Amino acid sequence: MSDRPNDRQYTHTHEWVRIDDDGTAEVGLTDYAVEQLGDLVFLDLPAEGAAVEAGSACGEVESVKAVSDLYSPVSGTVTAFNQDVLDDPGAIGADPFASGWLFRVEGATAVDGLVDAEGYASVVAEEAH
Amino acid sequence: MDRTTPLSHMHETAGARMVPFAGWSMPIQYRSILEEALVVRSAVGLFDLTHMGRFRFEGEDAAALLDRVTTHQASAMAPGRVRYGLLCQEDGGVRDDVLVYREADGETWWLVVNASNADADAAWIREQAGASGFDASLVDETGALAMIALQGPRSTETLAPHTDCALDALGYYMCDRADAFGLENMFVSRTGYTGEDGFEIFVPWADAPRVWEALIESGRPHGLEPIGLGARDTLRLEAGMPLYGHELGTDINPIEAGQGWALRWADGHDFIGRAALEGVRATGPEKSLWGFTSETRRVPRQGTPVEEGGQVVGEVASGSPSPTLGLSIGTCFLQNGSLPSGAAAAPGHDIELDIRGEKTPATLCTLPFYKREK
Repeated sequence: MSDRPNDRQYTHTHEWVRIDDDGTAEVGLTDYAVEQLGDLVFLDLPAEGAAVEAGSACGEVESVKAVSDLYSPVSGTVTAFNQDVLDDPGAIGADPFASGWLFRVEGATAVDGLVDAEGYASVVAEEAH
Repeated sequence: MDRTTPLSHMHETAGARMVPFAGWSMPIQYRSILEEALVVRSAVGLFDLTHMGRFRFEGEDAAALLDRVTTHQASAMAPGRVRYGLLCQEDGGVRDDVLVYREADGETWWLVVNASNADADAAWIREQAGASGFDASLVDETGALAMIALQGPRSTETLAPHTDCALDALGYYMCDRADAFGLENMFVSRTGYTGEDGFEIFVPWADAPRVWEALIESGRPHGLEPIGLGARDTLRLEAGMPLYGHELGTDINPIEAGQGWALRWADGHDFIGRAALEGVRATGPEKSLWGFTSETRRVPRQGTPVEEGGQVVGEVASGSPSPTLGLSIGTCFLQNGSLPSGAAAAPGHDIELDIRGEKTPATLCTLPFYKREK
């Protein structure tokens, strides 16, 4: 649990976001989300140029057993999405915090209520209880 | 608080994800649903099915009671046989689907029923026994006996070292009593819900962990893995077997669900729902269950509208990726009669699934999707 990266923030809906000084941000799903969803079979990600809004649904994550909305942790404009995981959603599980990233945003402004790795560990502990 | 099985702590230790299911805490998966399904197709899987209801019937009129409440004619079964049957309402709707077992002694009968319906089934069957004045009693053994299944082509090799039961002589859908795991008179049946060969055994509650561990050990060289309920659902769908709440329900009759073969029309078999179902048989069902395949990677879930010629003609009952076929598969109910395009529903006919607003092509087919080679 303690090996979640400290260079980023986490949402209560199990996304992570790493915001750089220049206002670019990278978004992904946490290891816990990937584990809970089980076999991922389909992803719907925001297109390049799309405006995403912090706290709003911007895509879907579908596993064998369930489909859930993907919430953007930041507002901004999408500059890229990860074609590799779009082609093979199961590949996110290999490294959800690096090669498993989902999309990138420019002009990113974060939403209130994001937590650091330690705060996210308690979110997970509470949910798993 | 959900009920636990005697194996719950072993599932947790093995890293299973536990979910509430029909009032029980059950393992939905140990690692990957799709990979677990393939283990059952190619090797052997071990299942905890303790959540299912297990009812033993005693009394002179046990067979007469089962004849009355199930569509299968229990009294016509040979000793040592197992048969699939349905519990119907007077209007023909399905209360539950069950396995009926007649033990080799010829006198003891069992029903295994769905966990979600078990309590209601027991109450309803007792009510029918009272109403008909039968000398028959239902003993609910669900809390006294665990139920463990082996499913897959290597099931026999996995079970054989533990029992003196002549497994080769125990044909599909037969049951027997045998010494096994150092216990006397264990109940073994060659049944299952995966489309594979396999066995289901009743195990005294306290012995279940030891039996589970012994099967893990003897199955290891054969590729055995514990399998969760997620893979079980995918396997049963591939094998074209109905799941209560999806292909069966109180608003669906057995003929609509393609289970007309489980109705026994012998003279004098006066099962509840017979009169209504004779009517359906005479006029034909209003809707029918179809299989479909699709190249989509999305999962067509229950309730997904099915369209043809731009109009809604039915809805999805079950859907799953099929790891065995490498396609998305599912079942759907379609209204009978000609489709909007003028064509009749037939295998190979194209339909569209409205998956969360996205029109997705699919093709009708007959069930099952998968049949093992014998």
